[in-house]
Amino acid sequence: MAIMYALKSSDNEIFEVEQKVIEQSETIKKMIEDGAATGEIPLQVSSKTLAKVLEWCKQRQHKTVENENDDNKGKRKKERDEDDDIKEWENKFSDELKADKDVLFDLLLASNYLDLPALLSFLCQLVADMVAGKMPEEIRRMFNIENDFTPEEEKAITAEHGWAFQP
Amino acid sequence: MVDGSFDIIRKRRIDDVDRISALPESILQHIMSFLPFRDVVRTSVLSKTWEKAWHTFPDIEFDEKLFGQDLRNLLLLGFDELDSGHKRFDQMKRKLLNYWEKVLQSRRWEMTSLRKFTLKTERLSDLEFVHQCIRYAVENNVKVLKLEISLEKDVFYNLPQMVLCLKSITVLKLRGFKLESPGSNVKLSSLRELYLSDVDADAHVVENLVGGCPLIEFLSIEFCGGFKSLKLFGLSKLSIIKVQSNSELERMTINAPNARSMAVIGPDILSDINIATCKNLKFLCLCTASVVDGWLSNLIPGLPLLEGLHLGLCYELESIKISSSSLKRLRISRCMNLVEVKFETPNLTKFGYEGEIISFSSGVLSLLETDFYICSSNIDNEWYVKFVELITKFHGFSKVLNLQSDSGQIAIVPSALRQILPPPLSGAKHLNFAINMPFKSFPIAQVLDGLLWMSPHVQTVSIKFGQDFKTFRFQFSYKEHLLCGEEIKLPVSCWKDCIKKVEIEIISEKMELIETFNKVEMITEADSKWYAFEDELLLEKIDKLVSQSHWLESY
Repeated sequence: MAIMYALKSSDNEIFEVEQKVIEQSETIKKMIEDGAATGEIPLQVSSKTLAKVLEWCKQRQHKTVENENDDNKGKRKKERDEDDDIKEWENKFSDELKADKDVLFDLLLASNYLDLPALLSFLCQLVADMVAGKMPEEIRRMFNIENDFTPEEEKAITAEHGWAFQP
Repeated sequence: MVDGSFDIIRKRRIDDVDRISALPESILQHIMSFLPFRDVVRTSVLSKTWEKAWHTFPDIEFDEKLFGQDLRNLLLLGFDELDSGHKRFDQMKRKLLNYWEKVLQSRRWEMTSLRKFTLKTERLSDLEFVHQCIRYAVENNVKVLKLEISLEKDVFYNLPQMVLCLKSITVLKLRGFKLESPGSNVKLSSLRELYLSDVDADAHVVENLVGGCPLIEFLSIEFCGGFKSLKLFGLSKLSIIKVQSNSELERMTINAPNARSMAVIGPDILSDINIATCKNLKFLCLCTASVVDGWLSNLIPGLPLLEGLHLGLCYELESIKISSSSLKRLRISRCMNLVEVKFETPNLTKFGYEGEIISFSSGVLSLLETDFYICSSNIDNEWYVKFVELITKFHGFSKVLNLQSDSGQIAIVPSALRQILPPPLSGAKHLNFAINMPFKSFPIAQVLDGLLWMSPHVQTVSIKFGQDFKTFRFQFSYKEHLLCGEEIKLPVSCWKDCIKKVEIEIISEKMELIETFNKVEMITEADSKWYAFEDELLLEKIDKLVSQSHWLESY
């Protein structure tokens, strides 16, 4: 029987999760090891975000378990299929986040707080892909970044690193 | 609160609030670490928050190539022989170096910690600046250090000793340096990856350097000079090794009991290779003229975990036996004097061969995929007979058989032979054919005709042109064996009569565009007279379609 833990979101929703799934979070793992996790584990993460985090963790868990159970025969073909499946899942996951940036940033903060390095890197890569190759004005528009430089200050920076602002 | 009103508030929040800049600086810099350096620098102008994140960003990359147009202008000036050209070249070089120095200076000021430092220069290599960079990297306990410089021909810069005693370094890449006999011992106690390229050093120095990296996992030594022999011992963590084109290397001994992957590529004078103690190799690539039959036949059975083997340009090989129960992938390319290969490889799943037609003997193989790139200059009837024999055999061994050739002529088996030889690929559902150097007036219909003879009633044929041209994917649907009958009898030349419809898809890999031609439907209504008449047009149309879309759109 898998050991289950109850996670409590900041809006008091309870999530029952297998130990193996939530131990990907270094923060929760430490809480469990320290014995601080008797009963419900309270987390500073909203239920909406936590559901998304767990969706990720379950997918990762699924992947590692299947790889362990594999015997060598026919593994390569199977791996390729699985890699395709994971890619497809990740693409869908990414598309949802790109469409709703609010969720993306909630998830970034949650992965930082829960210490989920793989998710954090995945999300940072996702944002980097959105930013790469764009000019500053486009990036500001995309993320509502307020330009708090005076025109002179901005001009000075652009002039200093002139090479980087050539199209 | 009513659900609807909550949504409206939420929506406004998304639209107006700058959430990205509210992220902790560590996350912003994590995002920046996935960006090309040009984009990293661009973020500095977004807002004051981002400017601050840039000032403390721990990865620095000085690559003259990043300067694009500025550099191109500089190079044009550099080639100018006039004095004024040289002067302007020096001025611009000074300007770029000043910029880099300023970046370093401001980071010193901010006490920014350093994680990665890269300096890549060719035209702009400046000894004083290189030295300044090295000092900066060492003072700041850099973890990943990449120094790739290029000075005048045969002039090397001595790497300062302090780099080789830096405990923080985990990755070190050096190009264009001279390494001299170290005064004190090398102590790179954290180093995991070492890349040496175009480095001048004697054998003692190289061995001492590698020996001073007890945790080394990855080693690459390429295009280096100054050593005739290379002896590396006792590297228990070393996992991946690449030794390539080191101009003077004659003898090589590597004892890395846990190495997983090794590539030894050239030079031709390398005649003594001792790697038999690397018993845990899974992947081995040998591309060097000195590999001989007996040596190879002895080596392979001693590598019980070997899964992948590539033999390329091994001119001394003539007749080899590959005996391995672990081997899954084998590739043999351009071993010009090879005449015979014997397989004892029950678990082989992928086989690739590039060269003339030679003899392959084996027990039963069950391959998933076979690639044949047949390069022959003299193609006559005798050759075709051998060719058909070869692919018949591997068609029986392999689920997928891919054919590749320079001109495509190999597919056009003469009609006299088609009368007497059985089709080599009968029963295949898909055929992949690549033509690497197609002629301008390429007889696509003839090739297609040849392929359809080889594989009667094949469902799809892909013909790929060149490296970055196009793939034509023909999908055939057939009438129910109308003229061929249930069994395929000789001569099988009736495919044209059996085809109901051809769909042609043109995949342009360069553009990553997929254009699907609206079904080139040759026959719409079942009418026997119509067939014969349309058949000739079918080939013509395919020829026309292919030549137009291939050449006109490519140029």
